[in-house]
Amino acid sequence: MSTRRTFIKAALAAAFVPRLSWADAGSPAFLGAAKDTNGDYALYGLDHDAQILFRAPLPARGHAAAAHPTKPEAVAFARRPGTFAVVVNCATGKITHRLDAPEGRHFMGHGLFVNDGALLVTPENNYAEKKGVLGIWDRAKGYTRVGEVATHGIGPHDVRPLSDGTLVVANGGIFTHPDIGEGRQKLNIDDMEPSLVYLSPSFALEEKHVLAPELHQNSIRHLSIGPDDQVAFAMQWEGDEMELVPLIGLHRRGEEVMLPQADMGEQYAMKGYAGSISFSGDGTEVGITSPRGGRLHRFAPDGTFLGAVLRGDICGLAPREDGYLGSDGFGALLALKENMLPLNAVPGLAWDNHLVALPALVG
Amino acid sequence: MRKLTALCLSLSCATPLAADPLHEALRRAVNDHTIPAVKTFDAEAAALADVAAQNCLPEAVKPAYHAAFDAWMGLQHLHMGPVEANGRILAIAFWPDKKGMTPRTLASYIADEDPIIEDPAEFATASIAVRGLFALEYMLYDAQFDGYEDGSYACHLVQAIAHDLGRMAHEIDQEWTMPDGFADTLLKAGDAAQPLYLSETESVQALYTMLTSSLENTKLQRIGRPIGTFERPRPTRAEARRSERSARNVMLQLEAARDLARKLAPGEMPLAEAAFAKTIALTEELDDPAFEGAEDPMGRLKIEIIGQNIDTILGHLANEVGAPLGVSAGFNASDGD
Repeated sequence: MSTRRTFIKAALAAAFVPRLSWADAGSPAFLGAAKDTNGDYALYGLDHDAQILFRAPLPARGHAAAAHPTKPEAVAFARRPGTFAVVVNCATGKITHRLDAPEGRHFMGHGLFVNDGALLVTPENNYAEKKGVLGIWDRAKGYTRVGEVATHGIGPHDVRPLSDGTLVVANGGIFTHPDIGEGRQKLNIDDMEPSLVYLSPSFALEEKHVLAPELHQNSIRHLSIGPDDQVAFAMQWEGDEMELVPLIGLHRRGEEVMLPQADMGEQYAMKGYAGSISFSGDGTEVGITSPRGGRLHRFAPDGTFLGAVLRGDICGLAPREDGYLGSDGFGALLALKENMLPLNAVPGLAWDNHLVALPALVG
Repeated sequence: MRKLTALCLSLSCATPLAADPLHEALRRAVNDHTIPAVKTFDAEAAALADVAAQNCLPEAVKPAYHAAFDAWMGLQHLHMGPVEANGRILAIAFWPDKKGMTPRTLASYIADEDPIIEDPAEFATASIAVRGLFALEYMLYDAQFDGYEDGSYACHLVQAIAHDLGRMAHEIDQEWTMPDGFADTLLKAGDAAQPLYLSETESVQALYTMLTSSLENTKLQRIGRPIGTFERPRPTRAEARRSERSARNVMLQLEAARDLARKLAPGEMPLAEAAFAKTIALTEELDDPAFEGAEDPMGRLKIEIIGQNIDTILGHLANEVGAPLGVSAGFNASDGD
């Protein structure tokens, strides 16, 4: 919601620094949120080698961020059931806008810039009507809300773009209500129905995939897009812990969904939970992390299990070189492929669930 | 280290190097808790393999099976390094077996006389449902399987399972205790040959997580499965009920956790000690080895109370062990999205 004052401030900022780019923020390669030893939360910009370039304080615990494709702006979302998001100017570290979810809706912790950064879309829980929506916000109008569209499922969590502007939405399937159990209590575990949905650039439903009935409690939560628009999704199992279920799905439009698994012992060790998902920097593999199981699982695009890398509390995952950058709650930022190589360790800094990669941008 | 100590002595340092409580906690936990645990399991599993090789019949193998299971209960909470590598933890103890894979797979191996049991290297790749302590328990205690004769396929299967357990236990011991093995990974932390933990704090953090998650698991699984819900208790879901080890496993797990807590604790832990003692006593007083009492409301309540006391232990451990060491459960592991 843009007040007159923030609008003027934004207009002035735009007038005085018309060419602000990611270079003015130190050209970060990654963004990540973390809690420090004082219990304060902030958004951090990291360079290619995971060194901290900037720190922008956040008002509360974040979940993930959406990075503008060209302007040094990141939108940090409060975690579920947060009703606000803040736009951080990564060059100055200042919050320039605050987005408030409309009545009856809350954010899900993720968002995405579309239309070359002109619009921001935000998965939201419309809990009054028990359905998922994407909120649409206009950046040029100071991040005012200009509309919303259905995600055709409950609990939309993550949204990612394909090369042609098609949007992929992970509908987690879980219904929560902000008034019940601090807004995180799962209210429909018995009849949840997660789905993977494709929306056209004009937000029309194009494809919807649901899992087999015995996997209906496998919440589709996070997405990563690989070469040739291959969609990889990570799941979190809400059923019995000792059931052996897939935690990663691979899909190409018009094809069947693939649900590969590791060998039995490794699969159990994930504890039914994948926290983040990312293709490797070169797109030759895709990884899922389990902070509960303390491991990264690597898969080839054809579903072959490539191996596990063990690391307690690992969660954040982003593409880096021919592997990944991973983060954990102990302050470590790790280069990962077959092994892990610590790049940075900041004791006392607990990296939150996700890392966001920025495309390499110059100038 | 030796050089430093010598230097210190020569200068008659007032402060011994042992001053860092975290460093000392790590050394005690690794050297005096984890290493004895892997050694004991290795020895008992080797004895089990020997006994079975000489006489495969249930009455001959049972005492060694119990001794090996006892030793496993002293180690199974350390879900780390060699214990969890290569899926070993499940190959040693596949429980809970929700879908009844163990009896079904055992029966099909026996019916087919699957030759995989002839070669130990091959058997190491067999389904985890026919390996480990729970497969052995079915063979020794379940009426569907325990009537086999000396020299039969089932007899050789028992020998193969026992041998495979001995092999895994020995590999764990070696990989844990060899130079640059897992004990060194923990002790040397960031200076280890292949660092897994980047600092001593992280090593202690990992051990502390093993302590708390093993107790949570005992409450959730060992207690939680047989008691089910008030309307529907499930005593047949009790762990190792065929060999009447359900209560014993809870007791031994509590004792193993207590030992690890004592080694980690930088000072006294009077409240945790009292809570451990009470919970262990409650389990002994139950006098219900297979948790059959879960069937009736009073018996079920008594078992449920053991679980509640485990929560009390966890609270005291956080204050008396975790907080003074500056460690707690992982940020993402405990609260994801």
